[in-house]
Amino acid sequence: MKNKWEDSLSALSVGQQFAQKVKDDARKDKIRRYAPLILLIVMTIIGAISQKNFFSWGNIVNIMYQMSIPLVISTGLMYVLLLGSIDLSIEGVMGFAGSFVAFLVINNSNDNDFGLLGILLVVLISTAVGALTGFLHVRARIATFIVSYAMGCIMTGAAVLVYRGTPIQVKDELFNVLSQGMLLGIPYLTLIAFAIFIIGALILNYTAFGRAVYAIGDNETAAASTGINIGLTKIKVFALCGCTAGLAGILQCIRLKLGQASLGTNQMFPVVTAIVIGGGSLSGGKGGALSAFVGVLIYTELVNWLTLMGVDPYVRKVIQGVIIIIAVTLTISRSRKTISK
Amino acid sequence: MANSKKSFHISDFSKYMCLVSIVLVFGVFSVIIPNFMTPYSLQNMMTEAAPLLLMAGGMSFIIYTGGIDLGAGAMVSCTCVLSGVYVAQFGNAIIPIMLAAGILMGLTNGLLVTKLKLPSFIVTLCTMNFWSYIALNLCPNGSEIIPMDKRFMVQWATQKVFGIPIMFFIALAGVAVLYIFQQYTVYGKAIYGVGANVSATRLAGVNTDMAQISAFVISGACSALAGALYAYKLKSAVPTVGDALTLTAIASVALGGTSMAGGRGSVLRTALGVVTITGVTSGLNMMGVDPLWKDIVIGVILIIAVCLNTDTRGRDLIVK
Repeated sequence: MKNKWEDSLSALSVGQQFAQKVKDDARKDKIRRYAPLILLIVMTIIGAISQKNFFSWGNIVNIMYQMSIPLVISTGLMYVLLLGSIDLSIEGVMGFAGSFVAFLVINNSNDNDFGLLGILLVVLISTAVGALTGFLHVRARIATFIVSYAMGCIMTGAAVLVYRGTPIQVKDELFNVLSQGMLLGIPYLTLIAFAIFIIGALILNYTAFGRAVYAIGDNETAAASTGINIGLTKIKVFALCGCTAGLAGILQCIRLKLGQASLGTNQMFPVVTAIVIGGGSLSGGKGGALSAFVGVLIYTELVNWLTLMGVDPYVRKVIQGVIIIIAVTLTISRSRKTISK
Repeated sequence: MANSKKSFHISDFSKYMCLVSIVLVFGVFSVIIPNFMTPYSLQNMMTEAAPLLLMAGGMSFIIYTGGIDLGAGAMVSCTCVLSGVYVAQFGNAIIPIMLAAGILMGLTNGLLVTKLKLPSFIVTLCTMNFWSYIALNLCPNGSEIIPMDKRFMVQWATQKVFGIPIMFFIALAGVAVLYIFQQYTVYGKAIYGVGANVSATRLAGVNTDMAQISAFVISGACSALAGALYAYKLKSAVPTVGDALTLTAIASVALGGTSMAGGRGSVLRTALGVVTITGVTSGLNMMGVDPLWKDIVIGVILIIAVCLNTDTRGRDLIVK
């Protein structure tokens, strides 16, 4: 394809070629920007056709409930993907956070009763784990997928170690209230998830830190020369991602009132898929809060629809795999001088 | 950037890391545990290590190219299930069939990585879903035991010759083949070239896509063979057997001193890494440490080994 492009332009001058390339890129960008919205509309129409009461308040709340945990994960993950990195430790951190919080509050296996303090402690530990991942990546110059993969395995191991075989059941009243309580017909869980996402989005869009993340993702060398502390920003991003992964694990534990390592299983990959569908790019610099939100919404509607059609969950995973390969193929940038092996 | 003033680079240490760690592990454990080095325990370790040797040996080639295969464990599960379920039908012809299946799986990964120019970790994370789908679909109720009357077909693999399990001989033969491939063939050299510098290698007239694809194919074939060995060893089809193996295989490669950025390393070093990891896991096991610690220990080993291996001198490249 590249050769064809070069052939057709061989008669043009360098300047014209450059102009042509810029125009091409602009067109691709435009397609990329509107494709997620079109997809969202298509998914909504499909949903409306296949489900009678798709637009009922009940179903809207249901979709919001289903997207709440992916939304919390995406809050941290969108920063990491904006950098062009990836965090494979999310599932492990989620599993650990869920298991450990179940261990700390009132439960059926020990006499702990830390309540809110326990939740705070777990969030702090998750943040520290994320920061450690970032630190190892920045200082030891290890590619993020490898360091976060190892970190994820360690955290999964730690999660299993917390409860040794029999998952802990939560008996805390606070967890009951949070999982069953509703405000205006919307579950507390959903409200918390949306609040976390909105805070994340505000930080990304309205602080110098958020701008720095965009800058690093777009061009790390240029960002460094404007005086941004690249290493520190990256560590902060990973700490944030660890924090949201921990929160997601806690929410998952609140939802199921059970602490086990598998709380995080298969949670990260759908969110990566969703963010990429929404217009993010694994090579960094593209996407943002709105596109992450649209992506998660599209993805939730898709899963909703597949479930409705009675598709087997394993087949759903395969479909996910195919979707992400297509989406990544369309969005990844191949011209950068980066190592994203 | 932190240690630019030091004259001794940590990465110099990585050359000797595999030897140091193997001596350390076996030394310490044979002091702590009296019967660590007994023939019986060594035989056990060999059976443990055999499939892992193949898997990590194959994985090394992908890591030479600077890529990674996060789906290798799922591939092992998939082929373990396939061979466990169909060995009754095909007999020992299942091994070449599995090799072919592994080549096909590797080819899928390789084509996706090279033709669509995607990062290998994302491709293998996706294809991992396919392999585990096959495994779980064929074994919906957990593991399936090979029927008693067909056991005679798989019995030979766990027999011992001169006190050494036949499986271990197979693994050694596999490592030897991989070593010859890596050392004496053009493709072997090309694979290193891809990891060290893709554009330079391409300019030198090497078909880099082909080299990368062959790395994935080799790894696929090795993982498939490892899966078949697991089926023979456990005498059943276990759809979750490979879950923890990806981490162990990557850690073995890293412990051998192979750089995750690609371009250097050796299958023999990986083999030493496998021996060390097997020593650690069986040692901890014999000390009565909860097996739940295994993943944590191996994860920590992986991080330390990768830290030591990373070439901190190549500063002009941006690591994501």
